Amino acid sequence: MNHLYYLVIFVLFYTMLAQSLILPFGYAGLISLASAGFYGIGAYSAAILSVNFGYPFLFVLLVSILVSGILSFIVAIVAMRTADDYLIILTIGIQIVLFSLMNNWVSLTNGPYGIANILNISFLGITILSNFDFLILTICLSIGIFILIRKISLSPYGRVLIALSEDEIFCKSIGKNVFLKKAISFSIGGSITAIPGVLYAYYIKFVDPSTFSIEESIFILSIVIIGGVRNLWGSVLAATVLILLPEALRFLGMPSNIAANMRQIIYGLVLVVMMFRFSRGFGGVSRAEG
Amino acid sequence: MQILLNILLLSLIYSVIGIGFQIKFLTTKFYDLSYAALISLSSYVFLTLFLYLKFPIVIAIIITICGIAILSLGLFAFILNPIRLRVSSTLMVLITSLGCYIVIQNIIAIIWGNSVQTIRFGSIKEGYQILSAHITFNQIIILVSSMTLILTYIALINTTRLGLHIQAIHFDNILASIFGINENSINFLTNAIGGCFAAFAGIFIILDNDINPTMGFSYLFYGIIAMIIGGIGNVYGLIVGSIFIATIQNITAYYFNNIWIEPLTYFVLILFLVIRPYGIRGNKLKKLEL
Repeated sequence: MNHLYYLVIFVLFYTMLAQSLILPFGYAGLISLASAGFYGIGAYSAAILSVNFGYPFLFVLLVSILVSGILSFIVAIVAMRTADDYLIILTIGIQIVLFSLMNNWVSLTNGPYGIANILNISFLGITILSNFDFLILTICLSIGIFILIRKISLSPYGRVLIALSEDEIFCKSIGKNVFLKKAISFSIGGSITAIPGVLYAYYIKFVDPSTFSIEESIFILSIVIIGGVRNLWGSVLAATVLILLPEALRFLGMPSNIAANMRQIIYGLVLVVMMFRFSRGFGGVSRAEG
Repeated sequence: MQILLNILLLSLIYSVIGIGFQIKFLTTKFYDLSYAALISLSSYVFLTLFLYLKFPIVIAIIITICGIAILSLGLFAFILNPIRLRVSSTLMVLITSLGCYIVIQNIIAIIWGNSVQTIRFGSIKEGYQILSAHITFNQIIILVSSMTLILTYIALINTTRLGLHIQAIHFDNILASIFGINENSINFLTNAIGGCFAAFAGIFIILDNDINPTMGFSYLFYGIIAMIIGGIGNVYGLIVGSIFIATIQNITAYYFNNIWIEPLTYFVLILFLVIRPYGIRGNKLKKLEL
């Protein structure tokens, strides 16, 4: 039963990670391969604040969101001086710099050995001990994120994002601050990414850099693409399928080290097939560049 | 003296990678990240043929190069080109190539394992000594053949008819087609040539370094960074960029610690993309021309 909880929790983590890309990628057309880096920032700030300083969960969550949001705002300002392919190259660069900092800044992050012994979550007098309680908390937060992204995408701000993905120059001509709007969408994405990061740290009680590599970023991006870049339910479905696939492989009796590679092969293939099948489908992105 | 030799060797390898990547990019106008997997694959294929199957070195090289060139052509013909023709955005093709990279890289990991491999056998030979720098026989092979490759490319692009056609398609593919240049066949040809360069780069890397399945990605990125620094489409700029990157990396390894090589290189990339997105020579990037 615990394993089932574990799987559902991870499906929800990846759903949140994928949905955090919906605003910047699906609406504003800013593609990012640095999401694992921001996921890591969330996890590491939770680990450091909780282990070294013993701050309570809600405070840690808030600080992590702020740190990640501010950092991604800075990254967005830097990144938006470039366009399209260069944006991807640049975000890959940022991802690798972030990963490298987690791996090599030993005095802060304890390098490849990671940070262990993260405290239990307790807030408002409730302490979360069992897997089931954690599942409930994760479900609540993911529903919150789901609703938040839906509200933002339907708000006037969301409509401006849709408009600028259709025609950026027109948007500028009617006096919208396109630069700022895009940067804010990226920053919202970054702050949302920190939430599963914090939860991850509290759930596994151990963080090390290997979880936040570039492969992870590609995986998160594939979930969004497979689910549909503006489709919130799509990313739930895609995350479920892509997380549960390796489990199916394990049932088939495949050794775990090969299963890890098989998982990646499968999502690589799914990505390629999706491009063939729906190459015209993701309205926002392909039209934004066209 | 030794550090100068190391810089020279490394910059030649980056130049070869950059040239192979660039010749594909010039005509097809998208970033083909599956190229990274071709570099790794070439190293492993050569290692297997030469070390385990005991093929003579020349035959091993020829088989590797032909195999990688055919694979590169196949990837382009059956996956990337159909998608490139279908979508308006080069971003989507880039993501597809990322999918191809993941698939090939994980197939490599399944076949050869994730651990580091090396071609060195027996005791390490002292090599020859030139002006207080030690150079091994393998390094001399790399030096001579990579310089030959680079000079061949310069001659190809500047003096032959094919080179002129490639340049014509790079500047304006529609106009080039009007003048009777067959864009499609040139694209196939540049992909085959690019594959050959990837194969050569892979062989050079295995001759002098240890390899693992993911190393192609870092090497390719160093090549891309050199290309961006040099200004795209400019082979002399690319060579200068390679020397610049190799110098930074060697100096970092010499004076600080080799764990900082990767973040520092990417930091340079980010700086360049932000401050001088047109490269040192000032040639504009394709997207920013508009």
